[in-house]
Amino acid sequence: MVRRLFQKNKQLSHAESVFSETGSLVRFPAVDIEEQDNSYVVHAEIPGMKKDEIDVEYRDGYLMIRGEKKFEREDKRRDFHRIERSYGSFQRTFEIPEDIQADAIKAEYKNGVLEIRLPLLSPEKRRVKRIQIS
Amino acid sequence: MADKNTQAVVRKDDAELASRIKDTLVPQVDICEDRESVTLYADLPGVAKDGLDVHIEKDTLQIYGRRSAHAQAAGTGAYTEMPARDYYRAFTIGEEVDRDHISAQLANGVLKVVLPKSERAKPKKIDIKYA
Repeated sequence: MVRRLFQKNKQLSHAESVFSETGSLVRFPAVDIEEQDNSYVVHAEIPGMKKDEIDVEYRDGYLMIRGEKKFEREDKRRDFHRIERSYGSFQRTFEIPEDIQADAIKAEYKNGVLEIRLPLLSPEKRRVKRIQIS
Repeated sequence: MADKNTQAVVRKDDAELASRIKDTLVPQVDICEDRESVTLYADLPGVAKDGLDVHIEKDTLQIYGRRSAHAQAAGTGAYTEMPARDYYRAFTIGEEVDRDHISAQLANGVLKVVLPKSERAKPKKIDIKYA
């Protein structure tokens, strides 16, 4: 079920990066989404950030993760042999089923991975409709 | 510092390493240099301190990072883009690196390795004496 719900998000991931309207390169961090302990759990790989540099927002059924990874100033003076890591803005938006407790969403940043837990509503509050078979 | 991944550093007798680095991901790195040292940054998201192994053998710097197991955690209908594979990458380091003073730190999924240059390799200004 979750697989189908998030299918829309998957299409986005095929493009590793796109140009935003402002013309700057916007990247999509890789994510995992699963259903676990009565929550939807989203993991996103965003290495090298500080937690206050990442924005997580939930609005009208959409979860958005965004931020900007800046090139460190102290390194600008050095000669670079290799720059493979990505810098700049990143953003991803996911459509989340609306049966969650929006007030109880929690996020944690650890080892370069952002974890967002979106607890599901209790079964009574979820709009489950039993269909009578005639 | 040259990338050694293309010429795998696996010796035939090192079966344990061979099995560890099988199907690993190559972490992305930045490498920069100044007068004092060469600094390497590697993106290793999902690797905790106890899952990281950095070592030097002869002229090879090896980085191995074990990804924490959240991806393999039991869940239903998982949608995944993050491969549940570990990281491995090896580099050849030059003579100029002072092997006894290499330091490494891991923060927020980024490994920073500082390879100081030996005194001999640092640039020196030559005083010119006037006769």
